[in-house]
Amino acid sequence: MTTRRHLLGIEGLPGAEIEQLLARAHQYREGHVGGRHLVGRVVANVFYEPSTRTRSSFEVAAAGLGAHVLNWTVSGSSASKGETLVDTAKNIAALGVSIIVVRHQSSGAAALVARSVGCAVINAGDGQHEHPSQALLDAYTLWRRWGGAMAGKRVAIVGDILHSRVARSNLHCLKALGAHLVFCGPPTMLPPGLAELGAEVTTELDTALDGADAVMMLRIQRERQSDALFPTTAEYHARWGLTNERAAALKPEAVVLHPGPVNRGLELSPEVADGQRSLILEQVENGVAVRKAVLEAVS
Amino acid sequence: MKLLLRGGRLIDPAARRDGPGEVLIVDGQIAAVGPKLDAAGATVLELGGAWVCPGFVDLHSVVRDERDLEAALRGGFTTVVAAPESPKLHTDLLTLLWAAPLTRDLAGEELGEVTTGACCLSQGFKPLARSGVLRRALQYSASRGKLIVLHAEDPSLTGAGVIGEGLTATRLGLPSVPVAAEAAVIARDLLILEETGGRLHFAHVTTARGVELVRAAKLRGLEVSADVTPHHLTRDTRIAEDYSLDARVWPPLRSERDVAALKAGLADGAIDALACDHVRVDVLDREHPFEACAPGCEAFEQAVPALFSFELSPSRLVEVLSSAPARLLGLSSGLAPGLRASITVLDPHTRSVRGVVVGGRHTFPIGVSP
Repeated sequence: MTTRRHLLGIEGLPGAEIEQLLARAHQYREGHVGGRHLVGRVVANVFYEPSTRTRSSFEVAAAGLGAHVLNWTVSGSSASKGETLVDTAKNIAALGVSIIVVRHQSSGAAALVARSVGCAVINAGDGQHEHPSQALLDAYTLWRRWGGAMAGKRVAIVGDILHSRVARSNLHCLKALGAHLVFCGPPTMLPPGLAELGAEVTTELDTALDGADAVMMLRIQRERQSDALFPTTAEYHARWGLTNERAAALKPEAVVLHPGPVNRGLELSPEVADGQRSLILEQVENGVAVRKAVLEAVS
Repeated sequence: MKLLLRGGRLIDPAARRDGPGEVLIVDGQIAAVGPKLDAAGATVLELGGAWVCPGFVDLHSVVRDERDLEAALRGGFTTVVAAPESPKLHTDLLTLLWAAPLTRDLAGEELGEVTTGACCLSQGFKPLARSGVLRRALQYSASRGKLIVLHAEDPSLTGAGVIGEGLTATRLGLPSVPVAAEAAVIARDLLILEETGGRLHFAHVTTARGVELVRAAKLRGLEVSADVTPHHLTRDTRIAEDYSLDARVWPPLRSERDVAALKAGLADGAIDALACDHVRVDVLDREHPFEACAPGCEAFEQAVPALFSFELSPSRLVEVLSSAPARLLGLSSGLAPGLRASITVLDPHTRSVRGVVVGGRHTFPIGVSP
């Protein structure tokens, strides 16, 4: 196993290293390794943004490896008490923590924490930048389904690409594994530069879905609707939602992913979310195995 | 007290002077300028070909305390206009002028009271969203000829942006600012200026489009001017890699292409002056993620290196630092006898400031040839 000090993002990770992580996750997933690699260690979950899923997934993974999990609650008010992120990070590290898992609303926050402390840091989502463990679990879910054959597979990622750290991490991850990426969404949600980063870009959902082997629907943040990036949710669903009709027209073996939580009837119809193609629950299940591999790799 | 600057190259763009010569300063005033002056009783500074220039004038910086003033002197600035965000400060280290707030509390709603002694009216780093307020300000100021200094920004286009739109912002996931946030406001303000008269100055222009608009307006005969900062002249968005706080400045950094246009604009006169936008940020305000950090950089000492970093003639280099900003503010500037001494000496080999003379004081090491 290659050891890394931190996992701050997928960008720049070599494909071979990603494959190693996926292979290790697979061993955990299939019960081939029981590993209590983190017995006696403390893993701190430091979440500046509410996130039940990611936090719980890291907690279960760390506990499964025998670590003690410290959930450092950061209320909205502690920032206003004048403690800087650097300050908080140093205080947590001073408790003797081995790994800090950090989620923050600002891009670059995990890198800042990593620069400030001596322990390992895992980025559990920083602003609109990256969410590497999510991309790894998405990739693992596809890797498992496709028996490891990622090269040349067409993966469509649909929704608010502009604000999505999941989209950015998935771009780097799936590209490194040789897949073909298509980004699709309303023009207001497609930032400039995506093509330069090696993705196909389209505003037409049917174009994106044509020949797709996997479709990843991103969550629409209803609270962002104050920005009015599209007129109404009904219009969004009609143009960029994975409806039953669109799902029926996909390749027979195509699969559907979603990082959760799903807005049923907005990004995708309830039937698609619960249907044969959906790997959404498997993503959650795989998340624990992937996070075990990640925790082990930085420990 | 007598001081003789000997062996320098005198560059005074406003007087079209560029050649060897000596300057004699007596009791804080320039007493004589000529090829060979009587050194009797004077401290002699041997300059060995260094450039002797009219003191540099900074149009726009936040001056909070003496540390900023000392940085200004090290950067070669003998005159600094404190932006309206600055606290009131008194000093005899250099000539400290202040800008009156263009609108009350810089809120952009009502005209600000013009305190006597203000050298210009400025909106600081705050946008002026309402066109009607600008129109009234220009009408009101047209009669007095005071320069109106604007920060061109449409906040509805800026949003939460912290860096110019483009590939770097997309990759780093940083909220970004489109070019139109600046350019649309410059275009609007120029149309208003055309109707009202008055003298309009755009502080810290950052975009190629903005430079083009100002250049075209000058060709139409409008009384418009603009400045650029050392950081916008030397850094583009790519410097934000790894969330480097060198990129956390306001207005936001732009693309490589914009930086090239700013350099060309400064060289050909579309942009009149260099202005520092020196803003010292507390260390604690830098211990946050990129977008949550307070913007700003200590720019006084970056000015000269920034101008030496690309092709600019010596006289143009000196002009954008001294006579051009002085002219915009209506200040006397130059190397002529009778003027209060305000002189900056530049070393073209090390591309740095050797020292300044402000009235009866100078910053050269005493008793040592500088």
